[in-house]
Amino acid sequence: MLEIYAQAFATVLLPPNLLAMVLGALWGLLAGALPGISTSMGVVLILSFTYTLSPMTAFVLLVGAYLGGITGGGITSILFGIPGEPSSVPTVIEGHALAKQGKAAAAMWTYLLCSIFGGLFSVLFMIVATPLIADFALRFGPAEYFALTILGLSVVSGLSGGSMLKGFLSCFFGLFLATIGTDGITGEERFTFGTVTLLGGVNFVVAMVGLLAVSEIMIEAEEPFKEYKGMVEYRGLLQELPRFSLFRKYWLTMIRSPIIGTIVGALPGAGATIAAFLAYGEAARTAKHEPQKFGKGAIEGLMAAESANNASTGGSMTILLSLGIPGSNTTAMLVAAFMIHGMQPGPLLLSQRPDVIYGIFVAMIVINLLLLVVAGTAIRLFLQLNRLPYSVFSAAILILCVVGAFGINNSVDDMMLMFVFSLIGYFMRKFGVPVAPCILALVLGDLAELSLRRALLLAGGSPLGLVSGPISAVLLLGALVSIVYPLIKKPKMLGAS
Amino acid sequence: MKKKMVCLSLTLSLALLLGGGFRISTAQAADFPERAIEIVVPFGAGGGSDTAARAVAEGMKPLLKHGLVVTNMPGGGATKGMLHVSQQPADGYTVLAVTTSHLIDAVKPKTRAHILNDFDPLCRIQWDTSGVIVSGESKFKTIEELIDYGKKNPKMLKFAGTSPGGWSEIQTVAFFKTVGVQVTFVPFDSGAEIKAAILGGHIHGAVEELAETLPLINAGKLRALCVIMDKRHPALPDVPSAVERGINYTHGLMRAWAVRKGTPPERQKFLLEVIRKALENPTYVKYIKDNHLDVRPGYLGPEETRKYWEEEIAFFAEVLKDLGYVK
Amino acid sequence: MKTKGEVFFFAVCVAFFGFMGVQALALMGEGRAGEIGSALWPLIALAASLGFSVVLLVRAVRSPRRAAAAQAADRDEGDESRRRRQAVALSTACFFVYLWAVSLIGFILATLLFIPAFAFALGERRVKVLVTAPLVLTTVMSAVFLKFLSIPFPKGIGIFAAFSRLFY
Repeated sequence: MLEIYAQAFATVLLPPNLLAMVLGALWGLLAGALPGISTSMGVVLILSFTYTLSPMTAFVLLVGAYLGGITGGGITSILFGIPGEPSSVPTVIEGHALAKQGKAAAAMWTYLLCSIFGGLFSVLFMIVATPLIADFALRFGPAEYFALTILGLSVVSGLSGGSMLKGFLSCFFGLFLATIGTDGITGEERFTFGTVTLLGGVNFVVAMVGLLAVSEIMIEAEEPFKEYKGMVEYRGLLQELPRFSLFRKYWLTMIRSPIIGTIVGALPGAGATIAAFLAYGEAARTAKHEPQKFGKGAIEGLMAAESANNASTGGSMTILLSLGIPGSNTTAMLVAAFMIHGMQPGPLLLSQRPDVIYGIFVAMIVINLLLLVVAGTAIRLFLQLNRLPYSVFSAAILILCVVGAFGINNSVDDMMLMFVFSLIGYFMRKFGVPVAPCILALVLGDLAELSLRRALLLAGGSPLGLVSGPISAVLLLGALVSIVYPLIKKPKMLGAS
Repeated sequence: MKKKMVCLSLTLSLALLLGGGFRISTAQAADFPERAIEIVVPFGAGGGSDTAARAVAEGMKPLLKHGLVVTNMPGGGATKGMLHVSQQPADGYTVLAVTTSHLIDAVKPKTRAHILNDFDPLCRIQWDTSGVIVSGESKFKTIEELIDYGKKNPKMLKFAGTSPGGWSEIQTVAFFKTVGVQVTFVPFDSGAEIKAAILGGHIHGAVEELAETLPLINAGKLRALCVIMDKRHPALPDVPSAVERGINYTHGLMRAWAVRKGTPPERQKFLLEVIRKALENPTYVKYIKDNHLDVRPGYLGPEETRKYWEEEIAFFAEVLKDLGYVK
Repeated sequence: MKTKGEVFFFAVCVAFFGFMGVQALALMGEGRAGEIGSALWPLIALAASLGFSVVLLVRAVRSPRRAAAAQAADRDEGDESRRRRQAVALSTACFFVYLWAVSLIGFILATLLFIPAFAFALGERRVKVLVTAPLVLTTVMSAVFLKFLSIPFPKGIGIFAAFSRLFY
């Protein structure tokens, strides 16, 4: 066994492969950081260059782009308040709030360290327990998916800030938004009013860019004019790096989030975004130190989300390499890469081409370490952007928002939809309705409804089918406790505003 | 100084504008194509349609002086991309990658653009093969056992698919209807979810395109009970074909290319010629071989494609009526 | 003022969710045998939203003390506050026009015009910034998104399309 890994290391560290990993990671970071180019698009765009490469070089390049992309999303999220990747939305909520408090550099370094930690954790988890993760993931049927999403939604009171009433309003609004479009079970059009734009539903990146990023600019425009955004005085690496005590303080979150990330990443119906939100929600639910800070710059939320979304890479790769099932859009691209090089990803691949499988395992470790250096450099460069004049900076953010909204489906209508959502977000914030629960519900709502209905179809209409398995029963019980407990503990919260 | 700069940039942009206008006026005389051809794929990047379109496009690129771009325009179950192409000028610069879902759309009363009335087919490029797939641990060992169970327990047989009211549901329900079984169709979001649900034992099986499931079938994790075709599949020589078991059902997923109706015939001819050459490109040939898309001949010329579309649409109309999607 | 706004906001919420609820009722009866159908889940979400909005509306109407306080505060703020609110409205309008302009005159020209207009609306008066920023930013954005990543942004119509084709 050790010999196989030694050999894999030797192959991966060959100069062309090393170069491919650095280039892949750089490209991925860029694609991840730029709104409008998702990680999977980033991987598609370099796929055609890999035809002529040797298989190993091609895979480390693509995996590099994949890991880089998931990591890169955090940069734009913190600095500009735009989710570079959907999986970085919780990072926008907490990280950008920290940036506005002048803690951009600290937030960036914390995010990077947590990302890398999550990534490495999941790779090691995957190396140790591939069959275990795959088996566990397969036990998730519609009933389990439903229970998982309900557990995720149940943290809404933790994200509501002051008033739970407004939090719940926001959450149900999000659930409604998730139902717009073609119904995934009947094919019926819901709330589309005959438009083609809404047929595919409210794209949640479009909604999030509007609700979070553009409305933020509008709120900021109300504040007195500043010449410079000027919140960062870069003080040198050692002063900015987070202290070890930070990680010790939140050790539970640091362990739990990558586990959530790895498992949810392995579920084909879920993925990095849902992983990030679940981990973020768990952090909000159990926050001991400063629960009131969630939504207003809680470093713990940032740590949870970023370690979970990076950890989803390990889960996704596990299910891909052991069963040939792509757990996410990006790993679907990797399937194409395998085909190009004459391999069929599936259960037999491990015995046919162990060199490739172990090579990818090892490459994922090396890429995570490389990312620490590459992204670390990128962060220092990106922080310089804070020296731009405030007005120009805001204009640039808006243009990036437009690119982000347009780029998903290359659709002008999506830009208009984004504008509508920015107005909604602006008024929600103005009147103290928190935006985070709405986005949480928008992310989870569709999966919640469809898996509920699938579960009912499979159980022949009997609601008992929802709790027949141990996993779904435990998850639903957890959700029930987490909804009821805060209401008993702090009934006053319901009214406070 | 600053005023000067503003003046300068204004003059500059004016000059550019005029230059652009000039380009337009000379363009009429030039040969087709005098700019890049756009292929609109009405699905997201990386899906089956996208991969197929890009594989063909790769072979077309060297034959076109101004190149071509593949644009993904997902949304509304392939409606959005189709609508977009139907609104572009009929000049041959915008080509739509058509799939079976557009034919199904043509049956529905709410359709926003009609594939037969608003488009001229260039050619059919692929004709995929599906199979009836169950878990490797399933109690159903042969297609007869499955049909038997289905006949004795109407609606208890649960099969997964992707698009409700779309190709996936139609092929599942129509296949089982041919053999006299009432099946419960459970729609999922993606092929990956379906495979995981079958492997995890959450659902009986699915009627799915074979290429993607082959690795799992070869590993024994999934089992193909029959391939929906008139002969056996070369990659699965032990699996019977539908026709050989007396099931007269051979429909498969189709991919074709079309332009807006009214595009000048000589431009259509030019595009068809380029596509035909691209289909012979060795890279493309290897691609369809690897993905078993060459099991049945895919290519059909424009007239044959139109005729094939008309037949398929008539068939879908019947199935959708049965399912209650069309009243 | 704040309370008045709140009353108005939650009243709009009530109207919106009510209207959508009526729309959802039309979906009743759509569904497969054995599941809850297309209508139930959105109806639950809408009913809950409607309920919470009504409660919040009632509470907003019934808080006279806060209203008085808010009004006093508002009077104190005076001109400056109104000016800032104008800035918000103006910059939002700029953004909206920009979104239209992108499809009308193409990404490059629209961006070139949007940046100075928006910066001005925010209160930027440094001429150096207003002149250089649009040129630099437009160049960078076009180079990255149009050229490097070839995102197919609208080219505009007529003569503007021809202009755009010079670049992408």
